[in-house]
Amino acid sequence: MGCPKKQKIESDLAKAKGLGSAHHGAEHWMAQRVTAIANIPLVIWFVYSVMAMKGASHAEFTAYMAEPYNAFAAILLIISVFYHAVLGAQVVVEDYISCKCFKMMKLIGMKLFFTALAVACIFSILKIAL
Amino acid sequence: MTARMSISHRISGVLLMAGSVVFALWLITAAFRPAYFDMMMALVNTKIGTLAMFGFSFLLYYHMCNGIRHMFWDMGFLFKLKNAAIANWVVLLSAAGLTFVTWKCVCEYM
Ligand code: HEM
Repeated sequence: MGCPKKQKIESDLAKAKGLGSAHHGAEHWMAQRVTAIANIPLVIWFVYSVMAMKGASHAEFTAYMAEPYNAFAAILLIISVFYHAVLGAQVVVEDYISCKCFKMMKLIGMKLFFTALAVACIFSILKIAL
Repeated sequence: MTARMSISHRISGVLLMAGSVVFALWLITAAFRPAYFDMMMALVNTKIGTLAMFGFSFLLYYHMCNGIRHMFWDMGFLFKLKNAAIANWVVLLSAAGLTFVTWKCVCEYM
């Protein structure tokens, strides 16, 4: 990715730094599985909800989201799916982008974006439900 | 075949992320911009919107089934080539079956 590479000999530590999952491989891997398992029931609820909301008016949709069970499931879904997706995308970025600084930019940008999106979603659910 | 299934898991994951941004906007507009919410609902009701929903549902089921298979792999099962080949078809057919049942319900009951 056209990024100037340092030509000096790096220590192993310096090499390992910035290689993403090299720092916390196991935790990252575990979190990906935990969220994957949590995603299964949540996604089934999600599909059901989207089906139930087919052609719904704004009033019908907000009434549905305001049900405590639905608001609860939706918040869990947002947290689990976005966390899972960011962890997953992190691996994809790490695998395909070889330039360190560009990779860091991508990773940080992506995490900021999805964190902001998740907070906006949770805020929306609370606004509708409360 | 197994390699193609593997890269499809990645592709489906990334496409699902793109799709989830749209669903996030759906929720956010519902809370803050009802006019845009109505617009999104109208868009989903077009042919292209329905096709996108259909595609998303298949990708979601595919990723879910293949994700479950991934976790079997992590536990050390299904590694033999023959079993991996069978699992490919189990994953594909389950995803197709779930998509089919979902849309049959949508067409008949919703
Ligand atoms: C329905 C339940 C789901 C299950 C059971 C599941 C399972 C998994 C598993 C086990 C992995 C790791 C694969 C590996 O180690 O190579 C994974 C990766 C991933 N998932 Fe999911 N997932 C689900 C839903 C989702 C959703 C809804 C999204 C997106 C919004 C998503 C996005 C991703 C991404 C981007 C990756 C990384 C792909 C890669 O590393 O190649 N997943 N998923």
